[in-house]
Amino acid sequence: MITLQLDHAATAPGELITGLAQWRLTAPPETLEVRLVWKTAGKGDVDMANVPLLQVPLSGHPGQLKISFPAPLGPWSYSGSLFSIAWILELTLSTRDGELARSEHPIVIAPHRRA
Amino acid sequence: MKPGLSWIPTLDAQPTPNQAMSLAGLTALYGIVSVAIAWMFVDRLLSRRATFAISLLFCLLLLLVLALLGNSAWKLFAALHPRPVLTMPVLVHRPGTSFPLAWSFPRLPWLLNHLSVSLKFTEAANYVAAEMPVEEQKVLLNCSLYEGEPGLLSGSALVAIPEHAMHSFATASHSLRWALHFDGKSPWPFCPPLHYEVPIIVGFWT
Repeated sequence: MITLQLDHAATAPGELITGLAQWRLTAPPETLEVRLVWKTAGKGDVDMANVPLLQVPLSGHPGQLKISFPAPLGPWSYSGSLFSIAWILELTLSTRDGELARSEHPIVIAPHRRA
Repeated sequence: MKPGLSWIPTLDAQPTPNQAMSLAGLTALYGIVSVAIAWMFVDRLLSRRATFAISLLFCLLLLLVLALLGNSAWKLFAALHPRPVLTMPVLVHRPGTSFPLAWSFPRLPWLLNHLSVSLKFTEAANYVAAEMPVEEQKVLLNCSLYEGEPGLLSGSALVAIPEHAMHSFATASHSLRWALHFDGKSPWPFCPPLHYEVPIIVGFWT
């Protein structure tokens, strides 16, 4: 299981996203991958794109890691009448043999910190 | 033109002289054919040689040619629409900023007796419903910039992008578009209304 405690659930483009990732797994993970994904929801086919951010080797990390990276400049989180654009922060823990656990955390990236 | 403002190219491709000539030629041809059919019909009626079947045939033919004539005349007037020429300082604008917009109608301005200029923010989504492609659109902001007579053939306005506006966005299935809309009416009822949409970009990267 992975949990992520973000310092702020909403951030402005270009500002630092910071938080604490914690995990409790039977097998020790070797890497933590952090990536941001935006996707559309509502009417229309889903459009999405991802921004790989970090790939951290975890040897010696005692089940938790502070993460920090700048928020992308765009697209901004958006909530409209026909569709919305949502950002999701994905954490993936893996070993050489494959993925151990994954979690998704919604986050708002917009200048006024609201979609 | 105001100093310091760069010219934006004209909005859409104007018809070439050949296209305008061919539309005018087509309109004239349909006009001649409709007059000929009407004359033949009247001639047969006067000489009492018109049976019911022939009268019906002539009427149907005349209606068809008149419909074609109306269609080509409508296209001809639409092709001859006056086109606004725009000036604005940049193409990409940030939310919360404003920019001066100037327009003029250098050609055929007398074909317009009412003009409205507005800034619109439109949301659009493409999807397939019942195996048919659908584009659904919704105007979320309609901000009037000018409303009235075209008057002096030119005008100007300050275009303000709202502070909390969303930036332009486009993917395969979704778009958020900002555009200036020029809508004009002609004094003549048979002249189609003018509509031009000039996209502008509201960006976070300027």
